[in-house]
Amino acid sequence: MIIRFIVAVLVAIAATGCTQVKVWERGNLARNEMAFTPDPLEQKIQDHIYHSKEASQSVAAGAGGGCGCN
Amino acid sequence: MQEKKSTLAALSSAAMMLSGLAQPALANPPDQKTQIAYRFTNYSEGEMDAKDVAEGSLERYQIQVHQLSVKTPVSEDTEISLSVVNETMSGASPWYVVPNAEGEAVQVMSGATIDEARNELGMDFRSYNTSSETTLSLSVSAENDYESLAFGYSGQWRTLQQRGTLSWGISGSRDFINATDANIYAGRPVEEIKNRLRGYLGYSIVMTRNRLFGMNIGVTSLDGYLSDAYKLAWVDNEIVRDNRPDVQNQVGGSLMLRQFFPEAQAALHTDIKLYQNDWEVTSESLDLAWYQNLGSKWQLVPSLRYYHQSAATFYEPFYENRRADGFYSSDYRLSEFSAVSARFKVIRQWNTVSVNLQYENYSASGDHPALLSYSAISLGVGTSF
Repeated sequence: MIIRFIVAVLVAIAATGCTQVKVWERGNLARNEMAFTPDPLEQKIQDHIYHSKEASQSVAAGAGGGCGCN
Repeated sequence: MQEKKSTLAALSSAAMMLSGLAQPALANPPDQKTQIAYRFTNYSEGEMDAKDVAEGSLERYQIQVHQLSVKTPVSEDTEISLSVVNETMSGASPWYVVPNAEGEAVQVMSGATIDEARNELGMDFRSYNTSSETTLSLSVSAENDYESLAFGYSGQWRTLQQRGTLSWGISGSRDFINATDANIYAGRPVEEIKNRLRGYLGYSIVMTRNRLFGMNIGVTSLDGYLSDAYKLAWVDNEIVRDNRPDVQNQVGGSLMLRQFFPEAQAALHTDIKLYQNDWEVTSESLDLAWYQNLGSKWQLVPSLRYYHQSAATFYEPFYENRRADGFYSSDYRLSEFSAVSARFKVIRQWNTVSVNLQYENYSASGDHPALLSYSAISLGVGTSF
């Protein structure tokens, strides 16, 4: 329920919050901590652990496989 | 003359700065640099509670993981990335669940310590220009009882004067399963195959000078041997092999918000993932992370993840009666549970070298006796030049 509420809030932000941002105004957006995946190696091992311990799979593409589970 | 030089230098550095800022907001934008990154992770599962174990070891898995990746430009508009993963695993594994005298579910663990290793080799070839890029990915993973060949082809197309990015991708894999000790344990699978085909679409947009928003939706189809090669199930006083449907279709989506707070010099990450498959497993996860800069060299990153999933339609911890469809699985990963993961990361930058140390504590709760807790500590080092 909480997650559905947050989804609704995020979609509302996405639907209403856009403004024109010039190229030279994107300094903060180009910072590493603003990336969707700031540390690809950390993300990869974390996704691998969650994938092998939970029933869900992430939606990312790219190659990768192997079980490594128990 | 001196003044002209200074003006020229100022204009040049301003132009260089604008060029840097003009980078689209991507996870890892093309930059014509060579990057090398290494990460070591020590993963340790908590011991089972003695009251939940009917037989076998209380100790669970310990895994050490080494990851190495190297990315380097090949030409002015292409780059290649190579990655290697080595995992060594040891410990005991949940085998099957039985009812105790009170009718409560208790776990039978594998008795002997299992020692195994997994090695993965991956390659990404990326081609890009100012408005689009494509990546071809190939990987191979090998364990003594499990091999996997995988490919991926993905791309991005930047729109709205680089304010928006449309992402797409397809990937697939073929896995080969040859269970160990199949000559000792009757029925263990040999020469089984599992296929995976996945596609996704995503869109991200620059909303304000301090906010990014992204969303993805993906579908996946699995077919072949989808059961667990080693797990068993207790069915009306009889032990049978884990047996699941040989097809599974999945749909998943994610929403990602990145908000920078200039006054605090910090960024908030909000990630939500929703998932459903036709075994009637649905899941939701919420991941929050706070990236706090301390000057230009230190960064502290506390983060918290909440996850919940429902049980597969044929899952039971043990079965009082036989099922008409013959599907049985008492795998804790198919049970209903919630999990909370707390992480803390410290990042230190030295010129072109970055070092980070992270600790994670994961704890699952639900009805299955083998639901796990683990801690993971990892050290990462990276450089670019």
